[in-house]
Amino acid sequence: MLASFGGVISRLGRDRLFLLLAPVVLFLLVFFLFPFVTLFRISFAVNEGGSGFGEGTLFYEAGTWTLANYIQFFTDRFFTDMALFTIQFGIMVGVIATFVSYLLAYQIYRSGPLMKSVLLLAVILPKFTNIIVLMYGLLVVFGRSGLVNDFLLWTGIINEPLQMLFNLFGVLLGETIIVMPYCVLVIVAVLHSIDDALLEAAEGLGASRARAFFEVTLPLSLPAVWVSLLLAFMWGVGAFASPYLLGNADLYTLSVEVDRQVNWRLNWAMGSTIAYVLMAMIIVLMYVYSRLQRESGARS
Amino acid sequence: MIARIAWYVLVGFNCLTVAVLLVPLVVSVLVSFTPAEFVSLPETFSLRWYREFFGDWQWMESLSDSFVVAILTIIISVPIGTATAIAFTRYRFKWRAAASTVIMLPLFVPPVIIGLGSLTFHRAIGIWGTHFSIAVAHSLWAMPLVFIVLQSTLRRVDVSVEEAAAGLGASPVRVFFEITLPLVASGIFVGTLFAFIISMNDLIMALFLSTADIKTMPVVIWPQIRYLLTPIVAAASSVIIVITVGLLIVAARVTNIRRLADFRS
Repeated sequence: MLASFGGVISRLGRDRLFLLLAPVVLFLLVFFLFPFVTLFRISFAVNEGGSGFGEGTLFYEAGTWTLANYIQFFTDRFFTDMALFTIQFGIMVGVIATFVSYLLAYQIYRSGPLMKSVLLLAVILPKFTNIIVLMYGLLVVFGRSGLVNDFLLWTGIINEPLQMLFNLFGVLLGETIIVMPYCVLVIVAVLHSIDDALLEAAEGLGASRARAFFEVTLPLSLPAVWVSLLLAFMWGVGAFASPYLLGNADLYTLSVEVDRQVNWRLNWAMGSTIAYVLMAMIIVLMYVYSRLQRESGARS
Repeated sequence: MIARIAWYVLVGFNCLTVAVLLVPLVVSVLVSFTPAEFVSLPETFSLRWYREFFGDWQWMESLSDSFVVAILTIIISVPIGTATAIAFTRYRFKWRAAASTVIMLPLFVPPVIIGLGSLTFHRAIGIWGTHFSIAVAHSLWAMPLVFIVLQSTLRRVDVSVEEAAAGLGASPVRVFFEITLPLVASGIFVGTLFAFIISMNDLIMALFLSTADIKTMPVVIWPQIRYLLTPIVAAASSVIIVITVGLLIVAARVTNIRRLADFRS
């Protein structure tokens, strides 16, 4: 592909830029924008209520327009409660992941080259392995008869196994592990961009290490904290595997409900509606994120 | 003194964090070597579940589906991401910052939405149920990653080398293949690995786009992990871990891993 691409480039010379950008524009237009348009359309379609199995059954009635799905979403306690929980869950993930990530990022920032590489690898690794592998490991380690419970029972700290999964703790644990790598990377990058001379100046002027941290490092790294909060919040809002596998029906998020509507109840219209409400939340967050990025970019 | 104690508390807490990050992965691998019928840490080493895994045509078929999808993802995302990165690092144009945000946008869209959107659209245009369909969805995540990696690699290449070659009469194509490409080969290689890893490990998009005929590994594992925990899932997971970690180590050797955290520019 590149070869024929290059051939065209030389012939047209001045339109090189256009040719370099054409593939990405086409790709995003066709496979990113169009699916969203289709989804939008279907979110206004009448649900046929069929099982979806067998000859000629559809997952929605083509060509129909209705607001019923959106009305149902915003009037049904089942959906509104779920939307509220999704937002609460996003906030919890944002706060927890950012706090834990900051501590780890700070150590990475202060460590020597070898330790730095080891810690970074430890953070990135879970991100590049399967969510399923992670969940499986969590089930084995934190389950009722898992390693943690066995250990705690053995030491006598507890008499009964702790319930650590299939509740809020389990879901937060899983989701935090999933989003943490991004948060750590963002915070490490900003910590490294802080001018060392500032810290030296603070310590030279007699500030203790702790004081230098709280008056120099922490304020200067706050933009990264905000970005991390938002990223984790955004991914938390879209959480799927963790609530599904490590939670219970009360802890399902909108993403899980999209899957249940589409793949189980075969109600594509409702699934699309939920997806759009979720998307609207993300777009608002994206806007805030880009504003923050611009602000922190202007400052540094 | 207090600062020192605080530092040790911090290190202790971080050890716990790293343990929680890594232990599940290690345990998945260990469990896969159990000879027992049920999920347990092995007392003796056994390859029983690997034999079952590699002997089962369903698992083998999903492994090959995963590979085909991953390779198609590379074929789609690497050229597009590379071309885009060249445009962004070698040309100035209007709306560059905004365009860069748009390119990154798919990374911020929940995979459930990409999955469902692609499902409805791919059915409408008739590519649903092919490897290509899943690869296209995976490319929505792989392409921006290739773009980031290539952009940072291209920025480090001295433009004056390219200009010198062009000044000596080399055509733009020749400059690309003889000067730029060798200099950014490591970036392209890492981008390729990322695309492969993303594709191999995606569950959610594949969950929507898989059919009875085409199922990637994670999709086959998914129902098993929900309803029955058998060690064969650990063996299947370990195969994915080994492939991923192996490729990551290669990637880390090709570039400096620390550079990944260094996206100041």
